[in-house]
Amino acid sequence: MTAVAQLEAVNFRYRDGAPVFKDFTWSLREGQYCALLGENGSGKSTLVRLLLGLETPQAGRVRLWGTSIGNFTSWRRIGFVPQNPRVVGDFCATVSEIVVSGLVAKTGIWRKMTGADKARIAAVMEAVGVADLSDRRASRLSGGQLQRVFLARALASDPDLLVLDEPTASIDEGSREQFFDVVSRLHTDQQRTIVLISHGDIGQLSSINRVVRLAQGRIIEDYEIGLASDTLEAGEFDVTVQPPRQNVATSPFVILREPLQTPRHCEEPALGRRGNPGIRILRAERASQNDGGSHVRT
Amino acid sequence: MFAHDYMLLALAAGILVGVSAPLLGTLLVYRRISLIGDGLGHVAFAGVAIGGLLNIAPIWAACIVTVAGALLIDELRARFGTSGDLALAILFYLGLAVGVVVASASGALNAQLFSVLFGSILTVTWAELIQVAVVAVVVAAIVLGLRRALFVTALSDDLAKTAGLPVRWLNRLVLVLVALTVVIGMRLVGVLMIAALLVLPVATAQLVCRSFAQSLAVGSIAGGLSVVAGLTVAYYGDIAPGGSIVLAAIALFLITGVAARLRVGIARTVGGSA
Repeated sequence: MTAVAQLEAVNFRYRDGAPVFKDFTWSLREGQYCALLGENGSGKSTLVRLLLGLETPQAGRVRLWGTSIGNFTSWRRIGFVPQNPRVVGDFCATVSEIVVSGLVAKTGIWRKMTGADKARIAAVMEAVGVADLSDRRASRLSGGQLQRVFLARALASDPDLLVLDEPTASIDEGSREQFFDVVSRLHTDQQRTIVLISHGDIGQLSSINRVVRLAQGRIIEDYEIGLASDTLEAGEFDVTVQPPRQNVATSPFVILREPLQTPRHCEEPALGRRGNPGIRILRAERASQNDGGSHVRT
Repeated sequence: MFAHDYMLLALAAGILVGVSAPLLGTLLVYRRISLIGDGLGHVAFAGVAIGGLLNIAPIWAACIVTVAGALLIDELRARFGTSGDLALAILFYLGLAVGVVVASASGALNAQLFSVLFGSILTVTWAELIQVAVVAVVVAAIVLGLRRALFVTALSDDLAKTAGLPVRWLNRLVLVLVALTVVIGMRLVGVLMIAALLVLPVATAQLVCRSFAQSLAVGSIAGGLSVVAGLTVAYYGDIAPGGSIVLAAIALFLITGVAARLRVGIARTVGGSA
């Protein structure tokens, strides 16, 4: 599977700060919907900033689709939703102006919008549910509406990689669920690769298929998630994992979902308890594959 | 008042600056750096004083020093981010202090320097009008031509970088244009008030506009109207035109604010009774 983003032996520290990453290696594969979790200061936002070329590492390599970040020019392939857009108070811009601004990565500074571009803008605004806000002043919108506007903006250039930096940190529960429903559809229906930064519970995010947890600049958990079949036998459980089938063999953990009974030898869930009591994490001791899907023996 | 050549020159120069300055001011306000124009005014003052000491035409000396100051500000902002505010403040006060010290050392601390501080739009010459026109046209052409890219940088530097835009160069370009506007504007309303022409018309536009495009247009119209109103009041009231232009811009802001509130109130009343 193609590596979308790679960080290799990266050392990074902010100016006059302690090292954030030391000899840090990480990669993201095509089709993954990856949740980056961790407390404040764990390094998750810095990881994304390095990945997007917003920070330059003191050592190591950052690559996007195999191209060194310094030489990367296909910015159309990236859609980024920042944590705190500047659109507050006196910022005077309509929703459609903000969404259309996402086309700059595709059209460049000079080229005008084509009919296809306009159709795409209309389609993404419809898809994320902001079409009826088109002429509204963005600074008058609620936090949830504004984040959906920026999601539409990120989608304007039809990106292959969508990066969401704690997009729901300051919005209410209802808006959060609505936002993640849209993002989940982008992954399941369109197979976009997504990175989501969160320091909260991801139990409600149904389509996440990889979880990376950081603490003090180190990865302390990195596992992939699949959907379980309802086949369970005492002491030996066959678990159909889909998607991503290819990743099962290297994944140390698999998350099972209801209606499975809690199996024996089950490690207690590190996450998902509150958000979705049906989620269980099994330790995968061996992995094998056959034509019925990826199977894990637990 | 139109019978006097000096008034026509003043009106022409004033309208050119009044219309073009808010185009840049919109970008500054959106980026929440609206006081940079004020700071560059301080730096321009040092430039005029240095020009006097070195026997260089004040406008060219101010041009060189203010553009250098703008690039230094960009460097400070890039290196220190928001924590660069203190460094910027030091630079601004440095500009004013250097101006006063150099002007006094060269014996130029006199009434002529007074006109640099508070403007002398009624003494604008044809040559100066051409300089003003060139800068105003360049500012308008660049801001309108690059408006989509500049809008993204106003949204967020990070968004602009992940769109592949040359953010540093765009930021430098805007600051250099602001520096040039400050220099040509100092002849009109003085270095202490030129920032008002950058920002006040934009504040007025924010009251009634919904979009970036409207904000650029309404800001420019408000800037032009402020100059015309201010000069008219100055002519008939026999008062200093620099101050009256800025006061006219503030009056326009207040009147627009009241009108906008009345409109909202009437709409609610009508909507409530319907």
